[in-house]
Amino acid sequence: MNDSQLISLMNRSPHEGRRAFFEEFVGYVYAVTANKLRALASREDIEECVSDIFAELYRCIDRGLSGGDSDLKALVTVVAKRKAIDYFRRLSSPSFQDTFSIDDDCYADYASRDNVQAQTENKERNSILYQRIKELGDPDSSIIIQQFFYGRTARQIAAALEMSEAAVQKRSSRARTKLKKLLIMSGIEEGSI
Amino acid sequence: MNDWENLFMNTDQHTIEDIAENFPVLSDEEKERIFAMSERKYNNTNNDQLHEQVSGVEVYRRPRWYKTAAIAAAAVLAVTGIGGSFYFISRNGSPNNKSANDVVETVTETSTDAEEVTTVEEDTTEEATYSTDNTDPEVLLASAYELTAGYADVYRMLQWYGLNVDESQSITFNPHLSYSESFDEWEINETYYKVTDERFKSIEDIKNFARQYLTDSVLGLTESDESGFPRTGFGSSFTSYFDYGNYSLCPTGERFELDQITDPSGEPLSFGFSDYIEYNGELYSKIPHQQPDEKFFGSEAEIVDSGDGWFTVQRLVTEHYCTFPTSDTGAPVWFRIVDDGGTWKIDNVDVGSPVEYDAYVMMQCYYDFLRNFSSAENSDTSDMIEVNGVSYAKYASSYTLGDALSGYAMEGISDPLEGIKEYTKLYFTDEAIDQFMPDLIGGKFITQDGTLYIRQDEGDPIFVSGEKPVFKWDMADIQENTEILSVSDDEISVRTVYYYADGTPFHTVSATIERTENSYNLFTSFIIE
Repeated sequence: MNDSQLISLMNRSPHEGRRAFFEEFVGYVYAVTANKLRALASREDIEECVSDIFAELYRCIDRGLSGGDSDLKALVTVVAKRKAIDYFRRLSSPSFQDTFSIDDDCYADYASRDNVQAQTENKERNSILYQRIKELGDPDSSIIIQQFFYGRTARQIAAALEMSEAAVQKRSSRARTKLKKLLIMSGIEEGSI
Repeated sequence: MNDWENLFMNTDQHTIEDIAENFPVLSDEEKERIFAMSERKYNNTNNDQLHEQVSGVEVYRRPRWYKTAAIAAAAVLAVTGIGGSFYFISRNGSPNNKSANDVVETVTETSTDAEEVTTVEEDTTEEATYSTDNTDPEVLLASAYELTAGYADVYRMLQWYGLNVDESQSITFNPHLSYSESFDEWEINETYYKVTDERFKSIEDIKNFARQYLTDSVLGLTESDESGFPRTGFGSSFTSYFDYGNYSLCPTGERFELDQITDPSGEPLSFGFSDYIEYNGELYSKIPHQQPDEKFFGSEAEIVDSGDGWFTVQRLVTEHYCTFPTSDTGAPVWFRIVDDGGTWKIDNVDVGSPVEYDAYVMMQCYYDFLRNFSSAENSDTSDMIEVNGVSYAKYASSYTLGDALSGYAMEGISDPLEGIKEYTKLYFTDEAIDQFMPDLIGGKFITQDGTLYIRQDEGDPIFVSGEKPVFKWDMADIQENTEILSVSDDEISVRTVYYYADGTPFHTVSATIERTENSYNLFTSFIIE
């Protein structure tokens, strides 16, 4: 379903439309939110934030998105990031002033010219890192991503992947060892991440 | 690499999108929960009035949190009021602490057709039990009851149930916001209701209430366990309840850009939407008040560890807690209590999983090892051998979800059969392996020239057919089909009926699961009936 169809559905049948909109974007919104909050937030906090984001998105769409100029993905991205930053501020109070790294996009103004090269290197390193994680293959790549990107516990991962908790812990440990070797082979120095 | 927690620091947008697409994490249950929350928030806000309203007199009764320490010999305090008498069990209801710490509450309740007023007066003139001067075990235990009951109060107040409010006295802020030029402005309505709980006149009062029981550390930090997995618990959420977002700084009904709004210090004002705010010298809350279940704890407090200046108390929590399903028995929660400047306070809260959930996880593991022992799933038929007239194929796991056996058998262990035993130790005690494993896997595997072979048994099942599970193995199915027979501190006994996906019974298993450290995680017996 494309953007116009979604908006049309939301206008025609609001509840059904919100449901379809939610299904379309919830995975992405959750990923954006988890990426910003995992270091501070519990899973409940993240879910709370995601629900706030959708409530706000519904209101936003109610109030004026129509026609061909709408780009729902862009809107979702902006609202999700903003709301996640709000939550981050709340959760990290009172040291917010020192925490610009939460969202490089939104705090681009703080990035000096000297940081441009470092940011480029970061981006390259992160790209390699993600590729190596994917090369671990399932379920190891899923475990690593659920553990360190989404901030899930071993028990939660075990339930999601239908494995035992012990198996998750063992596999995570082995996957990290393997990942470390892959990264070193890729030229990423140990301790640089 | 020395900091796995930072593995995904500064992840770029493209990667986030790729992760969202290729590694979705939300279960259907989680999606439903989030969707329901978003609907509630959306509908609540849409129904709110746009501007400040102060009228009416209906006042809600305070919730009865004070029954949380439901211990037999709890102090019973008389409560008087027009229209009837009530008896409250003090939350300081330890049989041991009554003389040392009676917090006397007087509740006066006045009702008319149009008005109901509740006031609470606390007489806290006596010494609190949680002074660290006396380290007598009974006094420590009394302190533990006091502190854990206080924790329950704070948790419920901030996490789920809110304070008593007067819903007729509300303030709604509706700043008009614009996040970018691409989109129209929209407004956000947030309604706060006047708090009527006499104990709390300000946010500072709430903080001070919490600080009676909890250190600043437990109020504000998230910690990680040794494996880097984040802990659940009270932890990081606390500050979010009131430390950001002050609507009183936002003119109602005016339009402005989000980033243009600053607080008096010049910082951009966060729209974190605090749950509590102060407005015109009054305390307001936006948490919808709910009546909590009466019971929070499912066990008495037990001191399980202690040292110089600290001790750890375990209690079972029966309230729907963290992310686990509601438990009849409860989830063990460990409260680390420390000497905080001469006063005992809770410094860390570590939450285990509900006892029943441990059992469900273990019974689900049956599929895990059964699958790894199935020749139908794990055979490389291009490498077959025959020993004493029996066919074996090279062991080659196709189990993409949890080929733990393959890992243990083939990596780092010279004798694959020893690897199998190591693998089974994930689930069984040594004694159980000796007793039961021969029946399950005896003669199943052999090695030849260091290679592991698995016997070709016609009855071995497959587990996935056409990408559909052959068995009902979701946690919800396991939970539904597992009967908890008995629970003790050391072990739990269960019986599970396993089903094929079409509803045909497959196996019935009776098992006893032993608790090691903090969870029930090893089979001591496992009998296929």
